Amino acid sequence: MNMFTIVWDGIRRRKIRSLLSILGITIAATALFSLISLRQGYERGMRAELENMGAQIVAVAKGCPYEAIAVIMIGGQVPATLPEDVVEQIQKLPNVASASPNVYGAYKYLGLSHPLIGITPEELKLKSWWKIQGRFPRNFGEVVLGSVEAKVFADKSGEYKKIGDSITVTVGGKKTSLKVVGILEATGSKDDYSTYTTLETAQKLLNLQGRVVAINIRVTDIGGVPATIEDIEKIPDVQAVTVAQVLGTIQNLVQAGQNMLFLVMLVALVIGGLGTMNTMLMAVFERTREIGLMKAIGASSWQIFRLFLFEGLAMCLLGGLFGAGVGSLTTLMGDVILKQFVSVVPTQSVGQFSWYAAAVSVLFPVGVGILSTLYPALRAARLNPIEALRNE
Amino acid sequence: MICIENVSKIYRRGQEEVHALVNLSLQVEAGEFLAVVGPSGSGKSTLMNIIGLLDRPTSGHISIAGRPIEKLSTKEMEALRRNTIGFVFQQFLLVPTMTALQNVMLPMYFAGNSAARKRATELLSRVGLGNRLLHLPSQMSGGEIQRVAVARALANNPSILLADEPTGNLDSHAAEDIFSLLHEVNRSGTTIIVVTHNAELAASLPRTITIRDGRMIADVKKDTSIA
Repeated sequence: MNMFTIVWDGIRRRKIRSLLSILGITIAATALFSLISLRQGYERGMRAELENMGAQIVAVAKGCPYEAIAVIMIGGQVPATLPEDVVEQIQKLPNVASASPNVYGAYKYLGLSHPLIGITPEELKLKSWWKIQGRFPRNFGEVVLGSVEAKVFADKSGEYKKIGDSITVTVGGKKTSLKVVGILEATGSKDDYSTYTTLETAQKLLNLQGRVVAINIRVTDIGGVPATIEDIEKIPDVQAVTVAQVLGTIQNLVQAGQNMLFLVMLVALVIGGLGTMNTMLMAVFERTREIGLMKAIGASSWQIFRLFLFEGLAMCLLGGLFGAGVGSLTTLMGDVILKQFVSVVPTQSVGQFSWYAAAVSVLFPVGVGILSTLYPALRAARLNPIEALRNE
Repeated sequence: MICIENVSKIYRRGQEEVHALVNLSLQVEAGEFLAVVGPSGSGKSTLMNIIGLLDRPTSGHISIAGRPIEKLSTKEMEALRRNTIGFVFQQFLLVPTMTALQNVMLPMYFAGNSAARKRATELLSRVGLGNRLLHLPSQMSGGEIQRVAVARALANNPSILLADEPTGNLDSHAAEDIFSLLHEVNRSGTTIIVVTHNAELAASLPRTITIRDGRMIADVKKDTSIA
């Protein structure tokens, strides 16, 4: 016999009530786990995504820079464009290692919209990790498909598009034939979902002759970024945003939403704690005579206190463990859910098991367990054995 | 073993003061087996609670196993109770969800005895329940339950066994069984005080004290040696 035997005996003898208390804590712990691990995954994913842009500064037309960045990251309607000669001006600035002009747009294929990005070989300086099978687009109508896009174009026989194949797509209401000259090996970023073509092709198809949407810039000296931004913004109608700023802003937005959720979860935990307190108070009440008996046969007040404290604690610990378990499962599915409700979602999997989340979602309920069982346990410990034994 | 001098206990029940014990003195030597008799409400249970260290007197001196209790802290009282006193109650107070074996192991758990299972098994065999170790209280008769209670009272090898009407809820046959068990326990050296309404059983004991209205009105020692 040990403490566990007695504690377990207490929990087991009121199965339904114990289960309900544990369930309450489980729900709160599940929410806690999911929230923390999703936030971690989201931040990690966003950071990876922005790093995959390869640029430290993005120059766009004046307007809402974050809107521009969002377009760059997920595609969509272009808000404003810059004249192409800005690229040269930026390239001439001190501390600029490379400036890669991009034109963003979309084409339709079988009714679905696909991102189309016009680039120059300059882009390869930013994305040194790119491995292209075949070659870089040189002439009008040539494209490189992202690894996932190549699969989208699988023909009826199920074979993926190969270099040399042609695809017929609709851009701006007109049918166009594009020739696959290269396939980008998987990068694990949204690049895998994009179709790359020459700047000229994109400009013509999207009706943006002589214009660019964004210029991705790498600097020689990262410490000189603020000065470079100043220099860029001296060019009329141009503004520059650092990737770090974008990341910070997105994190702040996500944080604000999550602080709210966190509060809701704390409320859930408090309710779970009150449930446990109620269960334990009932237990003390029902077992008054037994407590008196235990004291008469040698239990100290401290031992009684400990037994009841551990009983409440055990229920909350179980709830926390179940919560972390269920949370792990829901987090794996969380990706799918998150991607349906949040517009800016990283390509990388957001849901990843996190020990930090597991620790928090177990330790919080344990804390709640201690707090909510203190009073019932104290009551049990303070019972006068004679009166307790007389209790019917 | 037990030394009680001029002990009084006053309860307050609402406005009214209840004098449960009035200037009671009692000496019990080690190895004695005595009965406490008297009408209901005479103070028998209060006396047992005070001897059993569950309660403190309002005035007077008590020493148990040579230790004056007025100087003991609650913690020390708990320790003295755990190591010196065994209780058998009138109601069959076993933990209903625990087996006979677990019930007997319970006091040893509180005392931190690691050999509890072995000793509990031995004790249950000694009270004739070696074949009932894993039975729940609901699967045993009243007499059997009370024998488990005696085994439990002996768990921490107490020098004093207090039994408050241990046969109150038993038929006469089972009651005799329990009494012969108590005699056997007494023969091995344990001091036993038993509160009883059963005059016949009380008469079989070497010493009987009678209490009425919180006072001792008779203390009869017979010159019969059981051993």
